[in-house]
Amino acid sequence: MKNDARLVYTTVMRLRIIILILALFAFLSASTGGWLYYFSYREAAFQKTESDAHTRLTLLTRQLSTHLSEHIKPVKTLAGIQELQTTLKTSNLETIFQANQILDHFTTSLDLNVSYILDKNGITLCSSNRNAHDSFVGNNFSFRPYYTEAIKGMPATYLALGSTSKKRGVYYSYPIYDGSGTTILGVAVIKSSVEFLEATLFSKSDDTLLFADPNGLIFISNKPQLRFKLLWELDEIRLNALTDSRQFGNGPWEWAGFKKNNVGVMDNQGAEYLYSRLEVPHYPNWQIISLRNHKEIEKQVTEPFIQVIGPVVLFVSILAGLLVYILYQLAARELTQRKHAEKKLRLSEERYRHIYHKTPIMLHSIDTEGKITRVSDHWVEIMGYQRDEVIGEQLTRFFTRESRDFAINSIFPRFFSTGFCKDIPYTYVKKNQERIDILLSCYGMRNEEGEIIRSLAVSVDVTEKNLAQKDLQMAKEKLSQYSLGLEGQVKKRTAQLENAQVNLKNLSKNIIASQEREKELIAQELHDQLGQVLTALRIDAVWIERYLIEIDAKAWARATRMSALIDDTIEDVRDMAYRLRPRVLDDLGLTDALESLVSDFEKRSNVSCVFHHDDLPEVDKTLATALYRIGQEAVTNALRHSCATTILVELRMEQEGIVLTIEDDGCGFDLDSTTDRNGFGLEGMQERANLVGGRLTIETAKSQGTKICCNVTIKG
Amino acid sequence: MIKVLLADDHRIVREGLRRVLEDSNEIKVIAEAADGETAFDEAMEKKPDVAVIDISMPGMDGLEVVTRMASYCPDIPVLILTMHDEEQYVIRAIEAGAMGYVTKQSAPEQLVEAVKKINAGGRYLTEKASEALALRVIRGNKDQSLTESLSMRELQVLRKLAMGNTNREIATSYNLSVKTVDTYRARILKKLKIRNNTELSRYAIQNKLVEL
Repeated sequence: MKNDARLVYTTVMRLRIIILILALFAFLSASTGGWLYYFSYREAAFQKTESDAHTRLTLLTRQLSTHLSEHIKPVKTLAGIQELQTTLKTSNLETIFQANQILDHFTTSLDLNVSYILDKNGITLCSSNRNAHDSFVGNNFSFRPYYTEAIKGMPATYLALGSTSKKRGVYYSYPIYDGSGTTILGVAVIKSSVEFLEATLFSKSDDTLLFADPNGLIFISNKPQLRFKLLWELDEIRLNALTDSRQFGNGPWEWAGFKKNNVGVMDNQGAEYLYSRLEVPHYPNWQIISLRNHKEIEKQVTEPFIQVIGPVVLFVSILAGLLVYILYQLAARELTQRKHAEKKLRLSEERYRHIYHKTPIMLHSIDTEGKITRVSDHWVEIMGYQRDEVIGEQLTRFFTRESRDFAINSIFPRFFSTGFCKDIPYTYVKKNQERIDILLSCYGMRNEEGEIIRSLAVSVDVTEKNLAQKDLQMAKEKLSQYSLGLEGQVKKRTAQLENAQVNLKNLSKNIIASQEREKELIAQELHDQLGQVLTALRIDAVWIERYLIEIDAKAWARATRMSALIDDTIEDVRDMAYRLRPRVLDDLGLTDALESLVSDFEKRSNVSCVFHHDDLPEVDKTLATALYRIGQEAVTNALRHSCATTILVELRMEQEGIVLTIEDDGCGFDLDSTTDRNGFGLEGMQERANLVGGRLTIETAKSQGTKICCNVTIKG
Repeated sequence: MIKVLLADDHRIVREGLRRVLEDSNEIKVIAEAADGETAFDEAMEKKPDVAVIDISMPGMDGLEVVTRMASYCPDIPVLILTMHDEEQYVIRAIEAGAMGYVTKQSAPEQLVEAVKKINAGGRYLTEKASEALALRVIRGNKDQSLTESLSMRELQVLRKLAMGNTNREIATSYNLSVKTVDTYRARILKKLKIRNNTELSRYAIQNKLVEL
């Protein structure tokens, strides 16, 4: 039981693992699919972002370019103003005052940061910020490229950090010519702030937007912390050159930490950025750069993705989970059921094996090669072997030679074709060489193809039975010899007995016959002698009576009495003779005798006695006497005992013989009562019937009347 | 004189009968026989007017003599004498061809008259014998399914009743008590499924149980 439970448990666990692996596999597939989908989606998002960034940059570049060229014309205008030429030609308080007035006016109306004039040496002569604490007046800007370019007659724009004001600005310069327009007197400069620019153009974007010089120094950015930082790492030479140019102050300029790789840009934290750049017209090698954090992009992609896909995934996962659970349950249940069935099967197999082994019958099974595959305990016990001495051996090894030949030549072929054999007599040889006779019945177990694969055979030890049978046979023979002798004796005795019986019967017949004869003789004597004499006497007595009637009255009276007495005596004698043996039986035969008997009884009893008869052939005296006497006895009984009101006597001629029936409607009697039997003279009737070869049957019961029937077969 | 053949195997009886016959002075016994053979021979030889023959004799018995005579000399009427008064004898004798029947016992009173009567071409039967004959005829008629259930005595009583006899008369003639006759009557009515004496008479006449 414990093993079973463990087996079931193990199997369930194995199933569980399989299902889990399958579920995992399905999950991995789904995940991979999702991941791939996510990646392609992200790729598209990246491309879109890149393209968006490019578009934005283009737009920004155009706007910036417009802004940066905004004051080119005003500075030209400023440089063309007469008063400023004058001032540069003749520097005195008045001209400078005028020039300052113009510059103030210019600055105010154009909303500039500052506007000023440099002489031909680069010294600031006038400036709109002359009253401020950081006034330019007197400062030498000859190091600035905008001065160097303009003094050579080439207007210039320049982006730089103010060396005095420490403010970023766009510098526009234009040479101031004298009246002839050939000699450059000085330079007019306008500086406009980039703060506004930065605030309007850069600040609106989520991306990191940069405006950097050819060295990568960030001049404008929507991220304040990046201003005046180096986008890329600069070598010493270029760094020194930058310092020397004093374009962006004295430094130092930190490296913002960005590095280019083959995909994009990575900062020193390892974050990757989508990198786009565009050059700005008129500002060679200045670039507008857009940096977009990959994480941001991914966030843009992932968030909606998760929002949409999340519930779907959750739902699908739950569904799949449920499905897996149900499948698991179903499989587990089926498995349990199967295990249960298998267990039952195994139990039944075990029971079968137990029954097979423990049943006290010799059982064995052989395979198609005739080798023993299984034997019952009883088998090995009887045969005296150990089980392992027997299993795998040829069955016929345990047979006598005759049985072996019989088995191989006739029984095995028959069995393997029919699959059945019954009560085959074999003789086994036990381990101790004793022999036992058995009767073997065998049944073939078939496989699914219907071929016999092994047998199940029952051997019944009939040794003792056979011995007993032999003994019995011998005893029978002896008995039959005895009985032959006995039979002879019995025959002899029977013959003697029969003889005796015949003698007895004859004797009985003779007795009855002689009795009848005696009766007849006496009756005849009575009739013929006494009767005739009395008759003669009566004749004479009557004669005397008649003679005396007129002579002597007294004598006549005597004679009359005498003749009456004779009359009575005649009657008595007649009656006596009739009782002894009715003459009518001898004179007229059975029918008349019975008719007479019946009417005589009726006269004497007042019971209705009816006699019916067929016309009968003449029957011999003995038979007639027997039937008459039976009839007489039966009617006498009926009258004496039955209180019958009607007695019916029938004498019938049937096909086989004569049937005499005496039937009354009286009270009947108990046939089994010996008293009744004797009292009714049944034995006598029976005897008389037997003596003439007749059969007497009596049907009666209490209050059922009586029917006595005598059947006599007439031979010939 | 009536010539009579007298056959009886008992000599003393024969002598007594002869005296009875000859005492009448009208009868002459012309031949005697002690057995049947002799009787037949004597009859053939002496041609008596009447043969008086005992029914039971040695050799050929009386009945056989009657039968033989009926075929060989039918003109000689036979009167049967007998010791027996059973009706069976009467019937047999008449059937055999006898013209009369007298018991030896009643011979002194009836024999002469009987011989005279049959000599005159008549029959001599006692009332009892006549009745027995009538009953035999009735019994012999196989169509009478109802009367078959009646006993002989019942038939006798039925006939008497049908002929108008009273119970007392019947009782007297059969030596019975009146009560017994009444019992018989009731039994007959029941057996024949009739109600009274009138119906009983009609039934008897219709079934030829009585002669009119």
